[in-house]
Amino acid sequence: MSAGDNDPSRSAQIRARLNHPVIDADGHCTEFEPAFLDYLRDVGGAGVVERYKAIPDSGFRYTWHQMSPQQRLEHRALAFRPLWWAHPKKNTLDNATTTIPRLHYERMDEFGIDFAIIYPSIGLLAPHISDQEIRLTACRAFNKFNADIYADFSDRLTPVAVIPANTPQEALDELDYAVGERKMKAVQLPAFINRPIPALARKAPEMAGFLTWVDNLCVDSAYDYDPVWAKCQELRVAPTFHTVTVGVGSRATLSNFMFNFVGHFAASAEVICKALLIGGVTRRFPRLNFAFQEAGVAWAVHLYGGLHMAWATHNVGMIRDLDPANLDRAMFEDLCRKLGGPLYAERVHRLWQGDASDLLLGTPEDDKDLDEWAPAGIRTADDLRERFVPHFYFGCEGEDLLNVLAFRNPFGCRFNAVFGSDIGHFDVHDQREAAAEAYELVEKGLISADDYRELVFANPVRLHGGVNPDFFKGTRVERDAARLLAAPRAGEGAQAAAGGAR
Amino acid sequence: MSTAEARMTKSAAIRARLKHPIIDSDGHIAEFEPAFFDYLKEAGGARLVERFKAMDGPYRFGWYTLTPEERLRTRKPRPGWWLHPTRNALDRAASSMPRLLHRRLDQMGLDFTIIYPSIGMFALHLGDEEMRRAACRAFNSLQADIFREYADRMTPVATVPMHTPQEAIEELEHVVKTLRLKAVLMPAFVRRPIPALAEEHPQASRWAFWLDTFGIDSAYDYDPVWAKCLELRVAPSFHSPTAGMGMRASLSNSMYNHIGHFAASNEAVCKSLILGGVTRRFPNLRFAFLEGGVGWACTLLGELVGHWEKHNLEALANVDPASLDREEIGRLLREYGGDYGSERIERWERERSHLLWGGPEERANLDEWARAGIVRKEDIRELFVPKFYFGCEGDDRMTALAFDTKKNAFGARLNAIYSSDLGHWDLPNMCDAAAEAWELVERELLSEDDFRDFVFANAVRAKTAVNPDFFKGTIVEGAVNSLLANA
Repeated sequence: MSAGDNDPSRSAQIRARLNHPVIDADGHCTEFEPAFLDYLRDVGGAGVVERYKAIPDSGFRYTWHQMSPQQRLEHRALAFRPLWWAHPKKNTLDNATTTIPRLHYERMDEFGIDFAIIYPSIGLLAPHISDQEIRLTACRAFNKFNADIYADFSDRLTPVAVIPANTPQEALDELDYAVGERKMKAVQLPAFINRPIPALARKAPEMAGFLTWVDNLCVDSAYDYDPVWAKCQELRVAPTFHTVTVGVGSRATLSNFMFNFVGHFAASAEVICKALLIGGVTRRFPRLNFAFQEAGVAWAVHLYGGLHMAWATHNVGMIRDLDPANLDRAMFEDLCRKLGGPLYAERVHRLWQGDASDLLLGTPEDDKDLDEWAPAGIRTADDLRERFVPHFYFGCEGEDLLNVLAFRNPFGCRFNAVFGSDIGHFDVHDQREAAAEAYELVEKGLISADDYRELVFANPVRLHGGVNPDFFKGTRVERDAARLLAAPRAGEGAQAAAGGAR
Repeated sequence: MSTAEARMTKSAAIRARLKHPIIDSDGHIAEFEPAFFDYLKEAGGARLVERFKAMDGPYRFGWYTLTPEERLRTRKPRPGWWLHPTRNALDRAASSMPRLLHRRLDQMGLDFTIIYPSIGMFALHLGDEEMRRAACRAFNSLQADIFREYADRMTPVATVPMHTPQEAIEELEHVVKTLRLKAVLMPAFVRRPIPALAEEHPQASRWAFWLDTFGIDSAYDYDPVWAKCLELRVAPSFHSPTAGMGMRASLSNSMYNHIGHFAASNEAVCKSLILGGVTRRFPNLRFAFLEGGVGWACTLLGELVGHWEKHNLEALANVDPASLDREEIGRLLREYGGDYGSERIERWERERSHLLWGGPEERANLDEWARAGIVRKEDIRELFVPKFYFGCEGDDRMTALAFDTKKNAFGARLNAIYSSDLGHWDLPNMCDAAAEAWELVERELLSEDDFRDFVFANAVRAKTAVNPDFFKGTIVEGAVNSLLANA
């Protein structure tokens, strides 16, 4: 029986015509709070539940609503406008669907989706809770809860475990529990951790929560996170990231949630993606894949372009062209005297007597500090592509025209776009339409049927199956996934040769 | 530089083949510090010069004075090693001396260039009011003096501080009316103390601040500034570094901090201008966002459209908890969610989180598009596409996206403007300026018509829409007049 409309949905009709499955790499559950809170109580005791509800970073109670306009002005970025409502309500069936796994499961055919990987909603925030006890307890409770409620539906739905990572040890512990013990197959890590600035926290401990720096887990981290990536490899899980940055930096207006929301997943994705690359994680762990969810792919192509330009002009072979030690001072002075008139001629000697700024004439640097591409092992443009393109996967909602950039871009690369329906959240007003929206790119002639197959099937399979060949074992898509993983990837190696075709 | 030498560069050869000028919308001067300090002394006294030199900033980066342990303790971000090409002393001198730069423009294949500061960009963001205003004043006076003779091919940009509308208006009046400058640079944001924290810990404001982007929830009403820009016929432009801020604050890797940092500040102020309704209230103004490329802008336009479609006022009914059919949800929970148990289903009303169900909302707060005057999707196009210009470096292949009508929302062509970055590290050899940009045509990423828009027509429109006389008296005046006459 179908719980929804009896007419086949547009998504179902499209799926019926395809010769490959459709995999949703990023759907959402909307946690049923009374049940989750009971799990939280079981894990941490009744006191933890009340504390979880009361703390501002759990998402259970927004402080903004409790403040007067004047108080918001006084608290500014600490009182950013949160979202109004995140989930479908008018479509009551849709609301219930992502709250109840069985209903979600029953409606999968309506959605034209064979298999879905289910991210949390309020659980997205759990790895970012600053209170260690609440963070660890909440993540454990979410993982127990989701492992339990999705257990009967594993042939078509798999929930994502939330992994706290304020220290490598807490990440390792939760990976062992969620993946090792509960056999969860997909994980979500925080894209960054806010940490107190030590020198300031010592002076003003009560301000430590506000005077923070952003730890991207890879470059200049407070800890060595390699054991975490190694554990992911050992447990065969691909780290994924889906971190909210509403309320961070410029995304902290008091009155406009849209301002705060637009581009926020891309902002966190860029932080961790750049850090994984520059910090050399993709070099040291070449068998891992990483996914960045719900941000589209345009930011990644833009980032790749930025890396490409930066490497081309600021690689170690070119840096010494900027070194002030290599300035021909005599020639510079001569030009100042001949062409600069009195303004330059009479003053140029002062440059060498202390008037030159660090910004313009620089300071001596150690050679060891200058090759910023060394940790990533990037010596050529090909190295950059190898460290970036095959390892990173980008969650794209269906309606985004710029998804096309994954397949047609100025770099001649095919970036790994993966379809993420966002079912359960406010971007999807009718869950039956999500997969159909993605197909519109084909209908509009923007991507080919083969590109679409990559988006909704091959890339999601490679993301998870590339790290864990058994990821899809026992699922509805097992045979198709196995066949895909066994076959060599079409066009492999050809990317390198491709020019800059638009 | 002789004409014969100029012809020897690839850039010059490319320029010679074109039927239109090449306008560089974003070159840089490497300020000649001894002269700047003398101007600063004149603007603020010798004491101010010493204070400027003592600050942790572009004159002396504090990072270099710290041990690795101290950097860890203070989480001091790594500054760029060296910003300017120096092995090529001719380029280094040209970036400091307008006369030499003027002589070499033909070698670079450039007809006209708009010159942004280097140290001056930091001056806009100084928290100390006396220092900020004096430094901006000194930069502006210096620039006006040293570029005056070369106005036929170069114009310097004035730095306009924005901590209050009043200081912006005063500097605008000064630079346009007294110094006769015609291009202006404003900060993309101002860091402001969080009152609730600053009362008890004034020093904390250096690290814990909020960002005022002028359009939304600003501490001040900046409309008088935009009105003054219109009155004085100057188009605001933005070029604020964010390396070292927020998520770009590595201790050891300046590339990590640098990549994407201009795009980040550009996105913030651009979004603020449109959602705050500035482009609606000042439809005749044009705004430029420099050195961040255009990829971020194509994404932003697409996202604004996507979010408007899903989250306009009418569409919010889809997510309003009041729209939920409580009887039906109860039925579905009992039928499909029996595992949750009836006791929990009963508790649900009492245990709903704000994240999943929202807090109490007033209808007046819900239309977040109202300030911008967006009531239909197409309004976004009108308020965004013609108003904004995006500075793209010559080697940035993503510039192609500006002209890609298949991928951009509304099939729009965004206004990419060529920005050489001459004087800075992104252009290692000034003579490659035009040639580097032309490679976009050689790679078939841009058509020749696109290229003309990129290096000429868009740059002209960006300035003349606000000041039709911007190019009067320059060597491109004739070409500009023809372009505008045929528009």
